[in-house]
Amino acid sequence: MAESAVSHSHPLDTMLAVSDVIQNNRLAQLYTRVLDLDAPTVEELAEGLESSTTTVYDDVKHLVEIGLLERVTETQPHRYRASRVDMTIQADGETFQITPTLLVALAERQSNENINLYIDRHGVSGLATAIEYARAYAQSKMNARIMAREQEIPVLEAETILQELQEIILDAEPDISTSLDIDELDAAVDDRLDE
Amino acid sequence: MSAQLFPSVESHIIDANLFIRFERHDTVDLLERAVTEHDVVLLLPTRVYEELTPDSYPYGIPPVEAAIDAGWVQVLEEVDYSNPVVSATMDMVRQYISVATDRPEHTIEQADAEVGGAAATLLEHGQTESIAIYTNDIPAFRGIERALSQHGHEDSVQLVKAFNFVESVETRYQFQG
Repeated sequence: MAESAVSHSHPLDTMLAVSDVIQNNRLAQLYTRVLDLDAPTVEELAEGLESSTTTVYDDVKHLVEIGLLERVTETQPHRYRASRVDMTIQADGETFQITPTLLVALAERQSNENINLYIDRHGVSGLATAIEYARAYAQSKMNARIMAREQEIPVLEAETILQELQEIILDAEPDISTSLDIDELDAAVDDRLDE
Repeated sequence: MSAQLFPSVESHIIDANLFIRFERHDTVDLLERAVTEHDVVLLLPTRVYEELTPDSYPYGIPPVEAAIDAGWVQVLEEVDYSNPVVSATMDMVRQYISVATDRPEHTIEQADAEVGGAAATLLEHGQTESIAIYTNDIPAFRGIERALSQHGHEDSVQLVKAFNFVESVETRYQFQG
């Protein structure tokens, strides 16, 4: 399999590419659709989108240029694959992860009222943080009450965004392990109780 | 589909995640039909009720009040902390959540253990013999199950995985017009 272009580019280039997609919902939706489909052509991509084929073609060209999509065929019609973005940004003592899941969640903004409101209230950085909670939640290692306390939001808001993001994560990160090992958990609690 | 929608127990306690899932899917009316058709009443621990009805909230408020008015959801009395089995159950739930979430135990609050406390209170007061707990919080449930079986309530509680339950209800009632 071809290596992703993003992984070879300078981190600053990746950051600029990603910020392009974060700020442009149309690009985020396109990136998400490429992730969803199996190496689609521009025609196939345009089918489910509101934009014209010309716009989709231009957007695809742009995403290839900045390294978020890669062309996987030599002959026409070209097929494209999404590069797996994986960045960690550290700022003001906080760490944010930028993954395809974040871009997918951003792309959902238009059709998902709960995600849209969450971004309005907590920004893209808040959404990135919520995704990390949601990943743990999908693995039964987090609950809404703890997220609510740590992020100082109502439990209802935490549970709602965790459920929204869990569905995206299960889709975008199919390798994630969601079955909790109860025996292991029992043993860890026993150890703790013996101390 | 012939599988039982509801387990045959006397009491059904629900956690916030169940109600929120139905609300998100806009299928609370299907839950109402399932519950009333099966002559079941869903019990809400006090604190879960408060979580579902916050003073200020940016989104639509889940229709908990309407469900209570209609009689298919009931709010439980406060948890009886003075009962040693109740407090032991809540401690055990906090242990499990602490380990599962990798958080120090002192940061896990009683609120996190409320569902377990509510189940233990009902059993200890002799108000019920058997309980189903509808939640997706698997560590919390394991804590409840283990604590109660250590304190004379073996086989009194069973887990209904909230999201699977939502799916079963939606599958069964969605297309019945």
